[in-house]
Amino acid sequence: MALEIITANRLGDGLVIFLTADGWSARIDEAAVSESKDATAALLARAEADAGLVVGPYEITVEQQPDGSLHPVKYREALRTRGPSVRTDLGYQAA
Amino acid sequence: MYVYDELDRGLVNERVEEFRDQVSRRISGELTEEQFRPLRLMNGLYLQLHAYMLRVAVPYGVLSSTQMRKLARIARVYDRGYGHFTTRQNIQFNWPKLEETPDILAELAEVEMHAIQTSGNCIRNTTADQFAGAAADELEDPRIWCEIIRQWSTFHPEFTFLPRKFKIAVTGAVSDRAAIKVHDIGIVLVQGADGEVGFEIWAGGGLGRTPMIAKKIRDFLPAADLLSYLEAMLRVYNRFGRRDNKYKARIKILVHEIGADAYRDAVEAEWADIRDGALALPEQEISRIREAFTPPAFEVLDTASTAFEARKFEDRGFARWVASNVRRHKVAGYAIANISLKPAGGIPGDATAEQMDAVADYADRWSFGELRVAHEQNLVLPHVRQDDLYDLWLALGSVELDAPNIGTLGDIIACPGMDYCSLATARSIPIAQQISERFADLERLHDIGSVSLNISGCINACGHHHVGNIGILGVDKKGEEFYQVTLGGQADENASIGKIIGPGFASDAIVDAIETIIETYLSVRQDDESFIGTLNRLGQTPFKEALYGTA
Amino acid sequence: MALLKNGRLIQDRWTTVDNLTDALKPGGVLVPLELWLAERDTLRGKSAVGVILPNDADLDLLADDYDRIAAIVLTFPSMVDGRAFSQARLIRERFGFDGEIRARGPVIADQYLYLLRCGVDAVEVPDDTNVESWLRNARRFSAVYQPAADDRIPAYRRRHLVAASAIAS
Ligand code: HEM
Ligand code: SF4
Repeated sequence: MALEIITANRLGDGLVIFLTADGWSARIDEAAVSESKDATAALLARAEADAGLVVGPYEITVEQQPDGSLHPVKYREALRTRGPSVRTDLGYQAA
Repeated sequence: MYVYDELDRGLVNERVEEFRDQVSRRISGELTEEQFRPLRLMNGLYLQLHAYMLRVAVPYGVLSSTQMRKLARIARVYDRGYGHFTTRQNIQFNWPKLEETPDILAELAEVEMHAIQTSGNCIRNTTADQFAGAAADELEDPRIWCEIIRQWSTFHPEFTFLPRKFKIAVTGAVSDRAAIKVHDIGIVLVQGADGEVGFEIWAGGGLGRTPMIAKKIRDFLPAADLLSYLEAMLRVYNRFGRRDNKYKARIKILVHEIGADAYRDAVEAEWADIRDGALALPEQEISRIREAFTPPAFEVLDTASTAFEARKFEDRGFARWVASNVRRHKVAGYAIANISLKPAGGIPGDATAEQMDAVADYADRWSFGELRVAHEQNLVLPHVRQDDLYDLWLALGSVELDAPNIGTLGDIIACPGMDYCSLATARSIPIAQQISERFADLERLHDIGSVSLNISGCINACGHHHVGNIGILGVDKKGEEFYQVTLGGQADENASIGKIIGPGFASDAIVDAIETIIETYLSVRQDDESFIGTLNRLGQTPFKEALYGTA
Repeated sequence: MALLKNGRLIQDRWTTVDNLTDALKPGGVLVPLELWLAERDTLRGKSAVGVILPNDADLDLLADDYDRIAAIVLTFPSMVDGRAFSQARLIRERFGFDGEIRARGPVIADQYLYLLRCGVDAVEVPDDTNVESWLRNARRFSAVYQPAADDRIPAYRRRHLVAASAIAS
């Protein structure tokens, strides 16, 4: 199966975050990776238990690069890890 | 402009406190996201791709310089230094924090602004002709009626949980600049048999995945009956509009499925019962609101200004800007100045905090402190003396707001698309940027003349692509951005829905395709025929052949 | 479930039943619309009967009954399905019903003002409901912009009443 991770937006500021082994991170590379349906379901259940902190968790498919970094397969999700393509001074890509 | 009295002010402040309470209940866990979502939407707060987005109402597109400065301040303090003006005459901020939105709303309330009902399945901000009160072809100022509708629709206890969102547009002019035929309800001010002002009522227009032109529901509605009639229209919709499928929940589907006649009959029956009730508008209130829109103290001027004519003669750049951006005013010696938010290569509708502040200053200096937001995502200074246009133009140039391209191919309407929007299937802004850059040459742009090009990043059609002379719809084709082209749309009094010309184009081919369409037009147009004129005369065939060959 | 009525959380004394036998037992009963329509001659004899209306019900079906029914239950399948707001107003304003109109379904405190304004005077709520939250919402706004089923005077009249009385005094 393709690799999956869980993403959501943070309740307080709406920024994009990813479920990690023990919480949430703004960095996709720190995301907890699932390799099976069951593991994804378990991650999603953990994410949903955080409904007081995050909004709308869902799973996305990623590819792992040789250097270990995670890249979303869908362009939409890639944009979420970066920021608007038309304003490269904004969002995570600006940092 | 309408100025709040203590009742209006109290309500807006109380709304801020209500939202503050709701936000803290969401954060404390008392409200679930499912419960909170409709509440935040009714305060204009969306969750987008990268962050929250706050949509602030600009009621019927009217802003004072003070309000514009407040928007600039909000962009600067709470956001990232810019805002996006929309096709619904509102402004969107793309990076607010949930915790800070009550403070933003409190600041807005200080200048009589709010985000009430800018989203959600309720009656949204009523839109109007952006030249209201200034247009030469106007019967009466539509803002009077927009304000009356704004108040009636605000916190309407019965119509806050409708099947779907509900948009009303009003025009008082012969040329429809408010696109009333693609709204849930469209209202045209007309003169009755005895010369009194009343309304022609349209219903069931809309864009989205099932674009439809509105049907006429009533030829003449007396002014005092406006609210009772609207209430009857909304009640029939609230009770009988579909709720089983959100794509079929707009009033256009109801009107389409039962037919305009059946809808009209139901409305008239409902109206008969409430017409003489508490909704009949008191004459005193109509007068009170009419007074709020008393024209500013215009000077008595000559129709023609020699200084102005001389400036145009001396400075080609100015003459070009006047030709494309300035419109006739109803008062002699005055003009309507459109400020394009579409610099070549820019993001349509975006303005920086500095630009907002500058425009507020120009409004104070040259337009009685008044500004408008146009549904084409531009700004307007409605009342400028012809003699001041030159200074205004120079000033606009200093903040890069002097693009002379209103109504041209450079004046592209584009929704935020996938760069911001979580529903998008493709980006729209980069396509707009590439097209406006391709046609940046002003000689060529003005030779092409009047043509509207509208882009949406998905089938929801926030960028009005169906009613652009040229429409572009971004779709997802196996993970790639792909663009479908429609030709022949119009949003004015001759409203029509464009037709798809053929297979779509990849993102690296769409700009060439647009250029092919424009070159085809230039090669076959007669005299000074507009793009839409040529298209209506010849049909799609020459364009199809140019794009796809004759085979 | 408890009932929020007249600003207080009270015990619900009505029982929802779905057949005639139960409906005829002593005490207040709430019956489905179909049962009422089928058995109304029998049920009319009983004083404490309420009717549960689906939110797409034709209100004319009860045209002759409004003065015989003690309560009407309006249904909210979800908090965002607002059809019953229109029903409530019509039942109060057009049919002149003056018994209890109660809301049943997952409505929340933030909708209380709208419910009250449309003529709903009782809401079925969980026992642990924070009543203060509901009441705060009911009292929140100092003015209204439109007439409804309550007796609040819309701003467009109030403004001129104030002006008129100011002149008079
Ligand atoms: C924040 C992101 C936005 C979201 C989630 C959104 C969502 C939607 C949806 C779902 C529809 C289709 C409604 C239907 O057919 O029932 C729609 C229509 C529309 N939206 Fe947006 N929109 C967004 C931004 C905008 C912007 C930026 C504008 C103005 C530039 C806009 C103006 C419109 C207009 C004019 C329509 C079509 C008219 C109509 O039929 O209602 N929206 N929007
Ligand atoms: S048209 Fe689609 S992509 Fe564009 S703003 Fe609307 S919902 Fe988003």
